[in-house]
Amino acid sequence: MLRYALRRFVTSVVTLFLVITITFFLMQLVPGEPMLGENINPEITERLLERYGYDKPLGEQFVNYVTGLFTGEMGYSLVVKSGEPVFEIIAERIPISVELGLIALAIAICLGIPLGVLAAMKHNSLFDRCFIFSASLFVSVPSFIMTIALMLVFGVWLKLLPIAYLDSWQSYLMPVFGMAIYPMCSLARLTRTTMLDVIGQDYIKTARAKGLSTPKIMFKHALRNACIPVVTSLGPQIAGILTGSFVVEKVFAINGIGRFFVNSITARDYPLIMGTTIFYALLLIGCNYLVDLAYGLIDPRIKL
Amino acid sequence: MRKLLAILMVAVLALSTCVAFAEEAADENVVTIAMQTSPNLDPQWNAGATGAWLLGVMYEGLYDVTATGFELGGAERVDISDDATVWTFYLRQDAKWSDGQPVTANDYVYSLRRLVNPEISTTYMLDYGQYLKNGAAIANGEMAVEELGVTAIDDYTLEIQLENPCTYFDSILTYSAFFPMREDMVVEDGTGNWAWDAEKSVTNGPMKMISCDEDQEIVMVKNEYFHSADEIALDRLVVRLIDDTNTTLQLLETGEVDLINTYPSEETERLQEAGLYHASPALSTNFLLLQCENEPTNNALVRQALSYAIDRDFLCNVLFLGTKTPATTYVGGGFPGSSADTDFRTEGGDLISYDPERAQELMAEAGYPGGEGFPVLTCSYSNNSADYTTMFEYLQAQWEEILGITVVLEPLEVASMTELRDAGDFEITPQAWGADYMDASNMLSIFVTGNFINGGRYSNEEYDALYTQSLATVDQAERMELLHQAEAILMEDMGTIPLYHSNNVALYSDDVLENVAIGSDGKPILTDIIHK
Repeated sequence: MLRYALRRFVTSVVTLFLVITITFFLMQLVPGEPMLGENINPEITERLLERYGYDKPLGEQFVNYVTGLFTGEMGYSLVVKSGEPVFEIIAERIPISVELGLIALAIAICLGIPLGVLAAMKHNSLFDRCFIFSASLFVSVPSFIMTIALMLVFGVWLKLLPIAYLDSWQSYLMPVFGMAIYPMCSLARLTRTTMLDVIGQDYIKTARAKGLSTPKIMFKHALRNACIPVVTSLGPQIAGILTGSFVVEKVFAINGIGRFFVNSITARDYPLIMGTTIFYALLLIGCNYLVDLAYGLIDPRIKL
Repeated sequence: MRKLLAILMVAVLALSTCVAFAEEAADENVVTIAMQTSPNLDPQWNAGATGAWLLGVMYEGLYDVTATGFELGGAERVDISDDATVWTFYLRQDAKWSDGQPVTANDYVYSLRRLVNPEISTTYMLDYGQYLKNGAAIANGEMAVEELGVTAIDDYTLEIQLENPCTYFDSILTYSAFFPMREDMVVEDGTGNWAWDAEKSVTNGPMKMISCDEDQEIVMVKNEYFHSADEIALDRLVVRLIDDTNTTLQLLETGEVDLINTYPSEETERLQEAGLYHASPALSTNFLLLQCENEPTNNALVRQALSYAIDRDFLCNVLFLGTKTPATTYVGGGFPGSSADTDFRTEGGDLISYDPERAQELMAEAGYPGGEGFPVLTCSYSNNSADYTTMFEYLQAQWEEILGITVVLEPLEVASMTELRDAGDFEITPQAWGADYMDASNMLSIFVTGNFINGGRYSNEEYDALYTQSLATVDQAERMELLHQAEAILMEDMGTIPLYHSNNVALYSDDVLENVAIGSDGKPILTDIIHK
């Protein structure tokens, strides 16, 4: 187990380094430069780029950047509150993004898994059919359409919920659901499928023959095995919530990191692109790492 | 029990009426607007329209922008030397900063020196600094900042010497780069972020900032030290900062925001029907830049043929739903002509038209009869504008049909497009220029050889000579004549293909706001607005 954990740790670090390297060169390859403006004299842009060291050869810039990282130096944003350290920009916005993300994840798990179990228990019933229909529908609607649809219905037509900012508990509803719907439906579908598999197994029949109650069979015996693929899929689900947050934060004018991830790319704010990418990569790689380790705990049959 | 309940209810009712009365008494005139996040609020770093809109109410320069033009603001009167090179301003003695200190000539001297200081490299140090005596030399590091031709003769007398005679320098002075600034507040870290600090933001205009979260909301209240505070209708301005224009529009429609001036252009028709769309013509031109150094667009005949094949009336009135004015030449209406009450455009007349047959003749004359042998023409434009998509699809159809050529459309992401344009690496690309000041010379200046907006590298010595001569000419009629000649050459060469003049837009409901006017700088004048 420990050896596995160590080995996975090393590969995670290598992955992170690859992400940093590829992003660094890719972003410089993309046409456009920081501080280019529609009506700004390119001569002025040139002077500024020189001041921030962007006239040096790429290789040198990369070495400088990576050595900077080791001393905890992530550079300064060129656009968003230009001159503010990237680390501070991210640190300041982490709480809001993480809060939203965690609530969305919690909703996805707490509603998605029981819904899936329920659908499996009532296999082929009306509930099951409605469930499959709506889950398939919501899984195929991308989050940017979902959020705009939510906004239109609850914000503009019904005027029930606020359209922008996070300043009351009501204002959390739309962004959180916008982010949670996809992972919730996808978890529910997965749970249903694996549950149906498990229910057909002999040991469930045995449990039934022994006269155990259905809820006990479902939640104690079936769900535990059905959970393994579900846990595996949690890693990608978290990625889904993260990428969903880019759109959701922008649309609802929420001051989290997701918005800066998108804006920094449009503005070619190199240090902030790197900073946000590293942050998201760390988060994702970390989650996958934990999920991998969790296998052993959930299923003792898996020897790591 | 029932009695108790009744008494309680009466009490609650009475209390709530009291509260209502209290609110009535404190009835402030509050207007809420929305714009993109992080508007730059350093008058000399800002390059964006949103920053300029706010700076206009926070600061007062020597001149104020009005609905029709501009008038003296921070100065009471001005003496202009006969050759228009020395401008002496007598400042208002009752002008104060928002912390109560008087605004003096030294505050202007400080800010203008900062404008050209090469160590600070403000955004428009070259473009605006060049007007001031020694400004260009200082900006290029050839002279000390103290040599700038701006002097405080006494606390309330400011003398500005110019590099060249400039009779329209007053309209240039309306730009935010010339606002006075407080030396003890500005922090020089090369960013302009100090201006987001409500403590440091000491300003001399009608409104002052009381809180600022540059990602979410800026709040301003009336500056009680402003000399004409009694005439300002607005008590409080709330600026909500949101990047997504669809969200902004929905906030307007649900009444959470009162006024906006940018919106997704595909919503135009709906907004017009809902009565939210208010517009006035802008002092600007949208035109096509054509690559003048390479085949085939380096041929003036080809450029003319392309221009004759465009039906600008159809483009503006049908495709753009009347939200643009068709261009009849490069400089649009609204600029002063040879005297105070004439218009540059009316004097100059129309220089371009729609004539498909002429277009075909010109194409044949250029050596491409019926488009034969003409290489594929690529139009590059930024993909964030629905207007550009509409326009280029139309141009593609027209040119292919009338001229028999093949046109390829290349929509690009904004930053890529900007780099391409600056590098001159395109065949045809759209560009827009809004006048920085009310003089036709500003519009014409961008086609002088080497100007950075002139990405197609159009160059004509005669044009440059006429323009340069106009700069040194003091007599208005004579100067306008030179500019008319220059414009005629530009259109003869078709150095650019003018398309339309856009509108300044203000989106609001007449049921909510009244007294909304759009200033000559294109932005709704906030200080006069009354919230019903």
